[in-house]
Parts: sequence; C-alpha cells; structure tokens
Amino acid sequence: MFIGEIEEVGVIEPISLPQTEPVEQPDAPSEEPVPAR
Amino acid sequence: MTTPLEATSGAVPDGFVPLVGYREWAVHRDPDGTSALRSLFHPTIWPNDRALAAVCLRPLIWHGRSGIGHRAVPDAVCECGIYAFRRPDFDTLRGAKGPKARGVVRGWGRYVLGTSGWRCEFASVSAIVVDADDPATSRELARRYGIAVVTSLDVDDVIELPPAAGF
Repeated sequence: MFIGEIEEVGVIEPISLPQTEPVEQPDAPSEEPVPAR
Repeated sequence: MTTPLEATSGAVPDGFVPLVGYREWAVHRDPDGTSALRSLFHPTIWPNDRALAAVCLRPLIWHGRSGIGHRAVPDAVCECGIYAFRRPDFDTLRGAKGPKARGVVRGWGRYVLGTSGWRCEFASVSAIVVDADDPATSRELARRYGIAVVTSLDVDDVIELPPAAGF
C-alpha cells in the first residue's frame, strides 16, 4: 500500500479520563400539588 | 516492511480523535472454519479483542540492521506501520489470494500521513463492508470483531460507527 507523499508526521495521544465515583444527588424537594381553579 | 503485531500494553484509551481510514484484508479461515481479518502482505491476523500495534520488521529482514535514522514505528524513513487509505475509493490490492474484505479502521499513536493514505502505530477495525457474494461471512466477521456491517464505505454510512475493540 502506498500512502503518497508525506504531508505530516505526528502522534495522536490517547486521553485517559479519570475514573469518577457517582455522586449522590439529594432528593428533589417535593412540590405541593397546585389546586386547579 | 512491517508486520503489525497485537498490542500487548492492554491500555485502552478513553477518548481521542483518531485517524479514519479504509483498507482491505484477506479473509482468513481457521481450521475450525472461523473467519478472521488477515493483513494482505503479512501473516498477521487482526485481533478482535484489542488494538493492533505495529512493529518494524526491517531488523529481521535485514539481519539486525534497522536502517538509517529509524527511531520509532512508524517512521518517515521506513515503510513500517499499519496502513490505510484516506479515501474509500481505492483500487483493489493484490497482496493475497482468495476472498477479500474491505472496511473502516481507526488509527492512533505515531502516524505518518501521506497524500493518499497513512501509516500508524495502533489501529482497530470499526466496520466491514458486506460482501454481496458472501454476506454470511461478512456478518460472521462483524460479530467476531464487534463491528458494524455497512453497505459501502461512503462517509454517510460510517460517520456514526460505534467504537471497536481497543477503544
């Protein structure tokens, strides 16, 4: 296989993302039902 | 002069923007009938559970001489690396006899980018084009590699490919 004339030489570095723990979300405040008018 | 070998680091990158390329393989048949993707010019079976990593065979072929100024794989002064074309409309290669398969690959690590193709350090297959004469083998290869089967190498078909082994 022939790649043609060389245009560029470089490195594509992988990115290792930090492992994160799931953050517990507080319960959403309950809303009082609004009486229908 | 390269035979890409299987990656041994085990490191799986979480994210990056790889090179996208198009290439052709020979369809290898194991004694048990299982199909696999084999490089056209070297007896290298592409792994289905990790990325492929390239090594330079020049020292083996030239009896220990690594060539001039060869510092890494791939290197601009050599011909090593995992090859792919930049565009999907490439001519069929004649590196091996028997059935062929075409597909999409992603490459990363060191790379040498040419006007019509690239060579890179690591690569993973992302999709395979269905063979109209043997769709069953295409589907088998897709299952083995955990990749998509596409009807062509048109960009519209491959733009949303899922990650493949090694990603």
